Amino acid sequence: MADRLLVFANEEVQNLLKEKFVTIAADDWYQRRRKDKVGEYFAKVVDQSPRKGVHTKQGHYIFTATGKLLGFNNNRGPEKRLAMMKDALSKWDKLPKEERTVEIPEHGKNDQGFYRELPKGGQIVKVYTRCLEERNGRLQKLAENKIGNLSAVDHLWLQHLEMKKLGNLIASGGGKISNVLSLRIAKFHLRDNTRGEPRDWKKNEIKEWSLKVDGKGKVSGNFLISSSDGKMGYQGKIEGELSVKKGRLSKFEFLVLGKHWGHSKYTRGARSGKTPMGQVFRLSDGKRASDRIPPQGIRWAPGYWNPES
Amino acid sequence: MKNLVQITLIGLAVLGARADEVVVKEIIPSKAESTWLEIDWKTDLWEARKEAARTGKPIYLWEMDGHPLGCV
Repeated sequence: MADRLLVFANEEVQNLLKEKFVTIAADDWYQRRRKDKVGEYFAKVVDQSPRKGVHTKQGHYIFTATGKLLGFNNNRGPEKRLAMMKDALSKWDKLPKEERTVEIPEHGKNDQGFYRELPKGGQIVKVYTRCLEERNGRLQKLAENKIGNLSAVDHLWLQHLEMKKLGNLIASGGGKISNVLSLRIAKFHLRDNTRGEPRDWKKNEIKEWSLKVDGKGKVSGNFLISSSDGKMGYQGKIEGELSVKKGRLSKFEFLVLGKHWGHSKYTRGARSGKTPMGQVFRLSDGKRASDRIPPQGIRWAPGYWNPES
Repeated sequence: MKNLVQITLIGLAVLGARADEVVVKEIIPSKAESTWLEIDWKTDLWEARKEAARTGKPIYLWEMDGHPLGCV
Protein backbone atom coordinates (compact mmCIF):
# COMPACT_ATOMS: atom_id res chain seq x y z
CA MET A 1 0.00 0.00 0.00
CA ALA A 2 2.80 2.40 0.89
CA ASP A 3 4.34 2.01 -2.57
CA ARG A 4 1.13 3.20 -4.19
CA LEU A 5 1.21 6.56 -2.44
CA LEU A 6 4.89 7.07 -1.66
CA VAL A 7 6.44 5.92 -4.92
CA PHE A 8 3.98 5.41 -7.75
CA ALA A 9 2.10 8.66 -7.13
CA ASN A 10 5.38 10.58 -7.39
CA GLU A 11 5.30 12.67 -10.56
CA GLU A 12 8.89 11.99 -11.61
CA VAL A 13 8.51 8.24 -11.06
CA GLN A 14 5.24 8.27 -13.01
CA ASN A 15 6.67 10.18 -15.95
CA LEU A 16 9.71 7.94 -16.19
CA LEU A 17 7.62 4.77 -16.01
CA LYS A 18 5.15 6.01 -18.62
CA GLU A 19 7.81 7.10 -21.08
CA LYS A 20 10.65 4.63 -20.69
CA PHE A 21 9.27 1.32 -19.42
CA VAL A 22 6.71 -1.38 -20.00
CA THR A 23 5.13 -1.71 -16.55
CA ILE A 24 3.72 -4.87 -15.04
CA ALA A 25 2.49 -5.85 -11.58
CA ALA A 26 2.26 -9.48 -10.46
CA ASP A 27 1.30 -11.66 -7.52
CA ASP A 28 4.43 -13.47 -6.36
CA TRP A 29 2.41 -16.30 -4.80
CA TYR A 30 1.50 -17.48 -8.33
CA GLN A 31 4.45 -16.28 -10.35
CA ARG A 32 7.24 -17.88 -8.32
CA ARG A 33 5.43 -21.24 -8.48
CA ARG A 34 4.61 -21.38 -12.19
CA LYS A 35 6.04 -24.36 -14.05
CA ASP A 36 5.64 -23.04 -17.58
CA LYS A 37 7.44 -20.72 -19.99
CA VAL A 38 6.37 -17.64 -18.03
CA GLY A 39 7.72 -19.16 -14.82
CA GLU A 40 11.00 -20.08 -16.54
CA TYR A 41 11.45 -16.56 -17.86
CA PHE A 42 10.74 -15.05 -14.43
CA ALA A 43 13.14 -17.49 -12.73
CA LYS A 44 15.87 -16.50 -15.18
CA VAL A 45 15.47 -12.85 -14.14
CA VAL A 46 15.25 -13.65 -10.40
CA ASP A 47 18.41 -15.79 -10.47
CA GLN A 48 20.42 -12.68 -11.36
CA SER A 49 19.00 -10.77 -8.36
CA PRO A 50 19.51 -10.88 -4.57
CA ARG A 51 16.30 -12.98 -4.46
CA LYS A 52 18.08 -16.02 -5.89
CA GLY A 53 17.58 -18.93 -3.46
CA VAL A 54 15.24 -16.88 -1.26
CA HIS A 55 11.66 -18.10 -0.70
CA THR A 56 9.98 -14.82 -1.54
CA LYS A 57 10.70 -13.10 -4.84
CA GLN A 58 8.99 -9.83 -3.84
CA GLY A 59 10.54 -6.62 -5.05
CA HIS A 60 10.96 -4.27 -7.99
CA TYR A 61 12.83 -5.61 -11.01
CA ILE A 62 13.96 -4.00 -14.24
CA PHE A 63 14.99 -6.33 -17.05
CA THR A 64 15.02 -6.84 -20.79
CA ALA A 65 12.73 -8.91 -22.98
CA THR A 66 15.63 -11.36 -23.29
CA GLY A 67 15.67 -11.75 -19.50
CA LYS A 68 18.77 -9.74 -18.58
CA LEU A 69 18.40 -8.07 -15.18
CA LEU A 70 19.20 -4.35 -15.14
CA GLY A 71 18.08 -3.41 -11.65
CA PHE A 72 16.50 -4.67 -8.41
CA ASN A 73 15.24 -2.82 -5.37
CA ASN A 74 12.95 -3.57 -2.47
CA ASN A 75 13.11 -0.24 -0.68
CA ARG A 76 10.24 2.13 -0.19
CA GLY A 77 10.74 5.75 -1.07
CA PRO A 78 10.87 7.49 -4.43
CA GLU A 79 14.53 8.57 -4.24
CA LYS A 80 16.03 5.08 -4.11
CA ARG A 81 13.56 3.80 -6.69
CA LEU A 82 14.36 6.67 -9.05
CA ALA A 83 18.08 6.02 -8.64
CA MET A 84 17.51 2.35 -9.50
CA MET A 85 15.42 3.25 -12.56
CA LYS A 86 17.98 5.74 -13.87
CA ASP A 87 20.85 3.31 -13.33
CA ALA A 88 18.93 0.59 -15.19
CA LEU A 89 18.21 2.96 -18.08
CA SER A 90 21.87 3.81 -18.31
CA LYS A 91 22.68 0.07 -18.57
CA TRP A 92 19.89 -0.32 -21.12
CA ASP A 93 21.32 2.42 -23.33
CA LYS A 94 24.65 0.59 -23.48
CA LEU A 95 23.12 -2.70 -24.63
CA PRO A 96 23.55 -3.72 -28.27
CA LYS A 97 20.40 -3.26 -30.37
CA GLU A 98 19.83 -7.03 -30.73
CA GLU A 99 19.33 -7.26 -26.94
CA ARG A 100 16.75 -4.49 -26.95
CA THR A 101 14.47 -5.54 -29.79
CA VAL A 102 13.93 -9.25 -30.16
CA GLU A 103 11.27 -11.64 -31.46
CA ILE A 104 9.25 -13.25 -28.65
CA PRO A 105 7.41 -16.52 -29.40
CA GLU A 106 4.05 -17.53 -27.92
CA HIS A 107 4.49 -19.10 -24.49
CA GLY A 108 2.29 -22.17 -24.85
CA LYS A 109 0.02 -23.50 -22.10
CA ASN A 110 -0.25 -21.73 -18.76
CA ASP A 111 0.42 -23.76 -15.61
CA GLN A 112 -3.22 -24.11 -14.54
CA GLY A 113 -2.18 -24.80 -10.94
CA PHE A 114 -0.92 -21.24 -10.65
CA TYR A 115 -2.87 -19.27 -13.20
CA ARG A 116 -6.39 -17.90 -12.78
CA GLU A 117 -8.69 -16.24 -15.27
CA LEU A 118 -12.29 -15.14 -15.21
CA PRO A 119 -14.51 -17.95 -16.56
CA LYS A 120 -16.12 -17.32 -19.94
CA GLY A 121 -19.25 -15.18 -19.45
CA GLY A 122 -18.23 -14.31 -15.89
CA GLN A 123 -18.41 -10.84 -14.36
CA ILE A 124 -16.34 -8.85 -11.90
CA VAL A 125 -17.42 -6.91 -8.83
CA LYS A 126 -14.88 -4.66 -7.18
CA VAL A 127 -14.81 -4.84 -3.39
CA TYR A 128 -13.52 -1.77 -1.56
CA THR A 129 -12.82 -1.95 2.17
CA ARG A 130 -11.94 0.83 4.56
CA CYS A 131 -11.59 1.19 8.32
CA LEU A 132 -13.92 3.93 9.55
CA GLU A 133 -14.38 5.99 12.67
CA GLU A 134 -17.19 8.15 13.94
CA ARG A 135 -16.34 11.84 13.86
CA ASN A 136 -18.73 14.77 14.02
CA GLY A 137 -21.64 12.40 14.29
CA ARG A 138 -20.97 10.41 11.12
CA LEU A 139 -18.81 7.58 9.85
CA GLN A 140 -15.65 8.80 8.13
CA LYS A 141 -12.40 7.28 6.94
CA LEU A 142 -9.60 7.25 9.48
CA ALA A 143 -7.46 10.34 9.80
CA GLU A 144 -4.52 10.29 7.38
CA ASN A 145 -1.84 9.54 9.95
CA LYS A 146 -3.58 6.38 11.17
CA ILE A 147 -2.62 2.88 10.01
CA GLY A 148 -5.34 1.39 7.83
CA ASN A 149 -6.75 4.69 6.61
CA LEU A 150 -6.37 3.65 2.95
CA SER A 151 -9.05 1.92 0.92
CA ALA A 152 -8.21 -1.69 0.05
CA VAL A 153 -9.49 -3.39 -3.09
CA ASP A 154 -10.32 -6.96 -4.03
CA HIS A 155 -12.49 -8.56 -6.70
CA LEU A 156 -15.50 -10.83 -6.46
CA TRP A 157 -15.90 -13.13 -9.45
CA LEU A 158 -19.27 -14.52 -10.53
CA GLN A 159 -20.01 -17.20 -13.08
CA HIS A 160 -22.57 -16.83 -15.83
CA LEU A 161 -24.93 -19.43 -14.38
CA GLU A 162 -24.91 -17.70 -10.99
CA MET A 163 -26.02 -14.43 -12.55
CA LYS A 164 -28.75 -16.20 -14.48
CA LYS A 165 -30.01 -17.73 -11.22
CA LEU A 166 -29.94 -14.32 -9.54
CA GLY A 167 -32.01 -12.89 -12.39
CA ASN A 168 -34.54 -15.72 -12.08
CA LEU A 169 -34.73 -15.20 -8.31
CA ILE A 170 -35.53 -11.50 -8.72
CA ALA A 171 -38.04 -12.18 -11.51
CA SER A 172 -39.84 -14.73 -9.31
CA GLY A 173 -40.36 -12.16 -6.55
CA GLY A 174 -37.11 -12.63 -4.65
CA GLY A 175 -35.84 -14.80 -1.84
CA LYS A 176 -32.65 -16.07 -0.27
CA ILE A 177 -29.50 -15.69 -2.38
CA SER A 178 -27.91 -19.06 -3.11
CA ASN A 179 -25.53 -20.57 -0.57
CA VAL A 180 -22.75 -20.76 -3.15
CA LEU A 181 -22.70 -17.02 -3.82
CA SER A 182 -23.57 -16.07 -0.23
CA LEU A 183 -20.78 -18.17 1.24
CA ARG A 184 -18.28 -16.93 -1.34
CA ILE A 185 -19.06 -13.37 -0.28
CA ALA A 186 -18.91 -14.25 3.43
CA LYS A 187 -15.78 -16.43 3.45
CA PHE A 188 -13.64 -14.54 0.97
CA HIS A 189 -14.88 -10.97 0.78
CA LEU A 190 -16.18 -9.85 4.18
CA ARG A 191 -12.64 -9.42 5.45
CA ASP A 192 -10.33 -6.69 6.68
CA ASN A 193 -7.61 -6.47 4.02
CA THR A 194 -6.62 -2.89 4.84
CA ARG A 195 -3.25 -3.83 6.35
CA GLY A 196 -2.27 -6.91 4.34
CA GLU A 197 -3.50 -10.32 3.25
CA PRO A 198 -6.24 -11.57 5.60
CA ARG A 199 -7.00 -15.25 6.01
CA ASP A 200 -10.24 -16.71 4.64
CA TRP A 201 -13.10 -17.35 7.05
CA LYS A 202 -14.04 -20.96 7.70
CA LYS A 203 -17.61 -22.08 7.16
CA ASN A 204 -18.13 -22.85 10.88
CA GLU A 205 -17.00 -19.32 11.78
CA ILE A 206 -20.05 -17.88 10.07
CA LYS A 207 -22.32 -17.83 13.12
CA GLU A 208 -25.21 -15.81 11.71
CA TRP A 209 -25.94 -15.14 8.09
CA SER A 210 -28.81 -13.93 5.93
CA LEU A 211 -28.69 -12.44 2.45
CA LYS A 212 -31.80 -11.97 0.40
CA VAL A 213 -33.06 -10.00 -2.55
CA ASP A 214 -36.65 -8.91 -3.21
CA GLY A 215 -38.57 -8.75 -6.47
CA LYS A 216 -37.28 -5.24 -7.17
CA GLY A 217 -33.64 -6.20 -6.67
CA LYS A 218 -33.30 -4.67 -3.21
CA VAL A 219 -30.76 -6.60 -1.17
CA SER A 220 -30.62 -6.94 2.61
CA GLY A 221 -28.64 -9.07 4.98
CA ASN A 222 -27.06 -9.48 8.39
CA PHE A 223 -23.98 -11.36 9.50
CA LEU A 224 -21.89 -12.37 12.47
CA ILE A 225 -18.58 -14.05 11.73
CA SER A 226 -16.21 -14.99 14.51
CA SER A 227 -13.12 -17.15 14.98
CA SER A 228 -13.56 -20.06 17.40
CA ASP A 229 -11.64 -18.23 20.14
CA GLY A 230 -13.60 -15.04 19.48
CA LYS A 231 -10.42 -13.02 18.97
CA MET A 232 -11.24 -12.04 15.37
CA GLY A 233 -14.65 -11.30 13.94
CA TYR A 234 -16.93 -9.10 11.92
CA GLN A 235 -20.57 -8.25 12.52
CA GLY A 236 -22.78 -6.02 10.46
CA LYS A 237 -25.43 -5.55 7.83
CA ILE A 238 -25.59 -5.53 4.06
CA GLU A 239 -27.84 -3.35 1.95
CA GLY A 240 -27.83 -2.95 -1.77
CA GLU A 241 -29.31 -3.36 -5.19
CA LEU A 242 -29.03 -6.01 -7.85
CA SER A 243 -30.21 -5.99 -11.42
CA VAL A 244 -29.81 -8.70 -14.04
CA LYS A 245 -30.64 -8.17 -17.70
CA LYS A 246 -30.47 -11.01 -20.21
CA GLY A 247 -28.42 -13.11 -17.82
CA ARG A 248 -25.86 -10.35 -17.20
CA LEU A 249 -25.51 -8.17 -14.14
CA SER A 250 -26.36 -4.57 -14.93
CA LYS A 251 -26.13 -3.50 -11.29
CA PHE A 252 -24.40 -4.99 -8.28
CA GLU A 253 -24.05 -2.41 -5.54
CA PHE A 254 -23.67 -3.45 -1.91
CA LEU A 255 -22.89 -1.31 1.11
CA VAL A 256 -21.62 -3.33 4.07
CA LEU A 257 -21.31 -1.60 7.42
CA GLY A 258 -20.23 -3.30 10.57
CA LYS A 259 -17.69 -3.68 13.31
CA HIS A 260 -14.53 -5.70 12.88
CA TRP A 261 -12.14 -6.89 15.51
CA GLY A 262 -8.81 -8.70 15.66
CA HIS A 263 -6.26 -9.65 13.04
CA SER A 264 -4.74 -12.64 11.27
CA LYS A 265 -1.08 -13.50 10.59
CA TYR A 266 -0.49 -10.89 7.88
CA THR A 267 -2.90 -8.17 9.06
CA ARG A 268 -1.37 -7.18 12.38
CA GLY A 269 -1.83 -3.65 13.71
CA ALA A 270 -5.63 -3.66 13.98
CA ARG A 271 -7.25 -1.14 16.27
CA SER A 272 -8.18 -2.58 19.66
CA GLY A 273 -11.74 -3.68 20.28
CA LYS A 274 -14.65 -3.75 17.86
CA THR A 275 -14.25 -0.87 15.42
CA PRO A 276 -16.26 0.34 12.41
CA MET A 277 -15.43 -0.95 8.95
CA GLY A 278 -17.19 -0.31 5.65
CA GLN A 279 -17.23 -2.11 2.33
CA VAL A 280 -18.59 -1.24 -1.08
CA PHE A 281 -19.25 -3.89 -3.71
CA ARG A 282 -19.57 -2.37 -7.18
CA LEU A 283 -19.91 -3.92 -10.64
CA SER A 284 -16.85 -3.41 -12.86
CA ASP A 285 -16.73 -3.45 -16.65
CA GLY A 286 -13.33 -5.14 -16.40
CA LYS A 287 -11.79 -2.87 -19.02
CA ARG A 288 -8.65 -2.04 -17.07
CA ALA A 289 -6.07 -4.74 -16.38
CA SER A 290 -6.27 -3.82 -12.70
CA ASP A 291 -9.97 -4.77 -12.72
CA ARG A 292 -9.25 -8.26 -14.01
CA ILE A 293 -6.77 -9.52 -11.44
CA PRO A 294 -8.05 -12.58 -9.58
CA PRO A 295 -9.77 -12.45 -6.21
CA GLN A 296 -7.37 -12.89 -3.30
CA GLY A 297 -9.43 -15.87 -2.14
CA ILE A 298 -9.12 -17.85 -5.37
CA ARG A 299 -5.65 -19.26 -4.76
CA TRP A 300 -7.45 -22.51 -3.96
CA ALA A 301 -9.89 -22.27 -6.86
CA PRO A 302 -12.25 -25.19 -6.01
CA GLY A 303 -12.86 -23.69 -2.56
CA TYR A 304 -13.66 -20.30 -4.08
CA TRP A 305 -16.14 -21.62 -6.61
CA ASN A 306 -17.68 -24.16 -4.20
CA PRO A 307 -17.42 -22.51 -0.79
CA GLU A 308 -19.77 -25.01 0.83
CA SER A 309 -17.06 -27.67 0.65
CA MET B 1 -51.87 14.23 8.95
CA LYS B 2 -51.51 11.14 6.77
CA ASN B 3 -49.68 13.24 4.16
CA LEU B 4 -47.37 14.65 6.80
CA VAL B 5 -46.44 11.15 7.95
CA GLN B 6 -45.85 10.09 4.33
CA ILE B 7 -43.70 13.13 3.61
CA THR B 8 -41.71 12.55 6.81
CA LEU B 9 -41.15 8.90 5.90
CA ILE B 10 -40.06 9.83 2.37
CA GLY B 11 -37.79 12.52 3.82
CA LEU B 12 -36.18 10.04 6.20
CA ALA B 13 -35.68 7.57 3.35
CA VAL B 14 -34.01 10.27 1.24
CA LEU B 15 -31.83 11.29 4.18
CA GLY B 16 -30.93 7.62 4.67
CA ALA B 17 -30.02 7.29 1.00
CA ARG B 18 -27.87 10.42 1.18
CA ALA B 19 -26.18 9.18 4.33
CA ASP B 20 -25.38 5.95 2.47
CA GLU B 21 -23.91 7.91 -0.45
CA VAL B 22 -21.72 9.86 1.97
CA VAL B 23 -20.45 6.66 3.56
CA VAL B 24 -19.82 5.07 0.14
CA LYS B 25 -17.66 8.08 -0.78
CA GLU B 26 -15.69 7.61 2.43
CA ILE B 27 -15.01 3.95 1.60
CA ILE B 28 -14.06 3.99 -2.10
CA PRO B 29 -10.57 5.27 -2.99
CA SER B 30 -10.26 9.01 -3.45
CA LYS B 31 -8.72 10.48 -6.62
CA ALA B 32 -5.51 11.20 -4.72
CA GLU B 33 -5.34 7.58 -3.60
CA SER B 34 -5.76 6.35 -7.19
CA THR B 35 -2.99 8.33 -8.90
CA TRP B 36 -0.75 5.25 -9.08
CA LEU B 37 -3.35 3.63 -11.34
CA GLU B 38 -2.63 6.24 -14.03
CA ILE B 39 0.39 4.09 -14.87
CA ASP B 40 -0.48 1.52 -17.54
CA TRP B 41 0.08 -1.56 -15.37
CA LYS B 42 -0.06 -4.82 -17.23
CA THR B 43 -0.77 -8.10 -15.45
CA ASP B 44 0.60 -10.66 -17.91
CA LEU B 45 4.38 -11.03 -17.88
CA TRP B 46 4.56 -12.59 -21.33
CA GLU B 47 2.45 -9.81 -22.86
CA ALA B 48 4.74 -7.27 -21.18
CA ARG B 49 7.74 -9.12 -22.59
CA LYS B 50 6.29 -9.03 -26.10
CA GLU B 51 5.50 -5.34 -25.84
CA ALA B 52 8.97 -4.59 -24.49
CA ALA B 53 10.52 -6.47 -27.40
CA ARG B 54 8.30 -4.68 -29.91
CA THR B 55 8.71 -1.16 -28.55
CA GLY B 56 12.36 -1.43 -27.52
CA LYS B 57 11.82 -0.66 -23.83
CA PRO B 58 12.91 -2.40 -20.62
CA ILE B 59 10.35 -4.01 -18.34
CA TYR B 60 9.57 -2.69 -14.85
CA LEU B 61 8.07 -5.46 -12.68
CA TRP B 62 6.37 -4.80 -9.32
CA GLU B 63 6.21 -8.19 -7.61
CA MET B 64 4.38 -8.72 -4.31
CA ASP B 65 2.86 -11.56 -2.31
CA GLY B 66 -0.77 -10.60 -2.86
CA HIS B 67 -1.37 -8.77 -6.11
CA PRO B 68 -0.06 -5.17 -5.97
CA LEU B 69 -3.09 -3.94 -7.95
CA GLY B 70 -5.58 -5.52 -5.60
CA CYS B 71 -5.69 -7.82 -2.63
CA VAL B 72 -4.96 -5.05 -0.11
